[in-house]
Amino acid sequence: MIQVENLTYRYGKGKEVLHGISFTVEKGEIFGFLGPNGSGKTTTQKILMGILKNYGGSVRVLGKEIKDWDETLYNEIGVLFEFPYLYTSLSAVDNLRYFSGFYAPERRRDIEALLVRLGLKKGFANKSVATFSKGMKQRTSMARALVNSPVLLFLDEPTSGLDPAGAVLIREIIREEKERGATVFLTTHNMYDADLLCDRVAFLSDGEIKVIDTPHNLKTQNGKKQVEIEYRIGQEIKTVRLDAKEAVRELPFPYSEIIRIHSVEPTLEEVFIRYTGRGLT
Amino acid sequence: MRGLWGLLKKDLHLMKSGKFFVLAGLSLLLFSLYINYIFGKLETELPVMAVFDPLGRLEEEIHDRQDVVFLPSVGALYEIMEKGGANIGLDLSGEPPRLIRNSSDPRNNALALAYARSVLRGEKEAPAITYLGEIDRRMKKRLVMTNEVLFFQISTIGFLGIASLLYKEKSMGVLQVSSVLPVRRGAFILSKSLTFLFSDLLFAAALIVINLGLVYFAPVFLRALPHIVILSVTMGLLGLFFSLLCRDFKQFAVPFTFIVLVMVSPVFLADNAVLDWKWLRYYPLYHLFMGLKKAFFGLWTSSPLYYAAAFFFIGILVCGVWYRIGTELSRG
Repeated sequence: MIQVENLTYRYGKGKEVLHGISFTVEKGEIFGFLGPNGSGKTTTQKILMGILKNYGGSVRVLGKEIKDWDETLYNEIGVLFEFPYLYTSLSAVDNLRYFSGFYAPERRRDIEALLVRLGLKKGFANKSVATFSKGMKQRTSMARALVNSPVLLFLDEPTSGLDPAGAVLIREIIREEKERGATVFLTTHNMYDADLLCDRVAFLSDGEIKVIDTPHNLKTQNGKKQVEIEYRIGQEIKTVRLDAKEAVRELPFPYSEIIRIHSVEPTLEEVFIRYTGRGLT
Repeated sequence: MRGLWGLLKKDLHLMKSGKFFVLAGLSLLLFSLYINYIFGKLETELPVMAVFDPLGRLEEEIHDRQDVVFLPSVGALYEIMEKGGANIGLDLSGEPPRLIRNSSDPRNNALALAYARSVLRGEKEAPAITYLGEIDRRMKKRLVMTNEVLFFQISTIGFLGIASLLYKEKSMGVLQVSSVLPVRRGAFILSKSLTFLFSDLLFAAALIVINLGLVYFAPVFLRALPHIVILSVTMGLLGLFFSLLCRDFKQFAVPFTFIVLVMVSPVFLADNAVLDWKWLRYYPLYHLFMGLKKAFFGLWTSSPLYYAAAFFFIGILVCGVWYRIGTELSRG
């Protein structure tokens, strides 16, 4: 779906911001592109969407070099920007009608059904977007990104501004899109989202990809293979960390009752810091 | 075509929600009131001559002329002139007689002098005036002012309107969304230009009907049409270019002031004032203004050079806007 080889980019005569990055995104995959501000995420995404042209290396999207695509590329892709960009003087329905008007009728989704699926509050579909909360705008923007049944979805911070229930719903919808056969290129700071959603993630820092792998592999490869045990001895509750092998053989401490045992693995954020030397913000 | 139609509908909606049509309607009303009730009535009567003749040098019969007012003192003469109560003042208290005028226009003053001489010669009646063609003095004034209002409206309000529309889209961020829609950049430019052209044509038609009447509408509008199209598209593209170039409305104020003061003002000044600015012939907007003016007075502009230059300039502007849109969209 996406093949990037040795991609470089510089703005004008400024210094290079992408230093020969390479990765592929398979059809039907949810690919997380993670990096702190200024790491080159947005630049990469703009190149993949065909907005920035003068790049070095090769970028193939949907089987064709991105430079060779004309505007018909945008029939195939859906984009959710970091901020909910909508016509505030129009209602949610009119916004979607306007944007869906650019696509062939057979591609267009049912607008009302889409808004219902995205959980837009009842009675708000025909109200001006100017009256919407950030979360409702985000839901409407997500509907806009999906209105043409895209085969490739670029999502930038899809759960931003949403309450926990809204974030769960958006994650469900992203999974549904994957099941429909769409490929998702997800850019986020939210490691929880990346961990829950992504088949693979790439860590980008200072214009370079530091590692690409599944969240599971990254966590297990970078974990210490330890378990944390919470136990009670007498009236006292204690916690201890042991190597997993040691814990399997015999617990080397006296106890009255084991309360909890769980594996100790690093969070994706900790792995990210380990690879890039910096946090995500 | 599907994309262009969508963009046109959206731009029209934004103009409507931005109260652009209300503003255009209000300016149409104000300008029409001015043309009909103030400007059109100025100096449409025969000139009035105020005379101070303490020595009784003028013959008695002159006193019967309705266009001549005799005053008792030189003070009263200057007073009536300063109040604008007379077009020509004639002080016969000394030798030679002194002509008093409010205007510094040499052509008008030469006519005033000739008029004063007719009085001094003792002609008993005001000269009869024959107007050439079908246009009388009042209609001529209406034509002049309607043309000027139209030129002003399209060149400044249209320029400002297209910028306000784009800034609105910029502030909502929807310009970014346009970069990922299956629509050509050309359709985006065409939509904005066509929307404002439509609005300008509507304004022009209403202005002509209200101020010149239905009889004049078809001939004037048809002859003015190519100039309205050139002016509207040019100013629309200029507005688009500068609003893409400047980050916000504050920055945009600079080119707007430049357009109004440097580009449009000299054209009006040359038409209304006595200055003989020969360099204006090298000034493209002057030809556009004169083309429009000639159209109002029944003349076609047939110079191929004029149309070629207009298309060339529009072509350059389209390229500029095309480039700026690309930069704006990739800016993000």
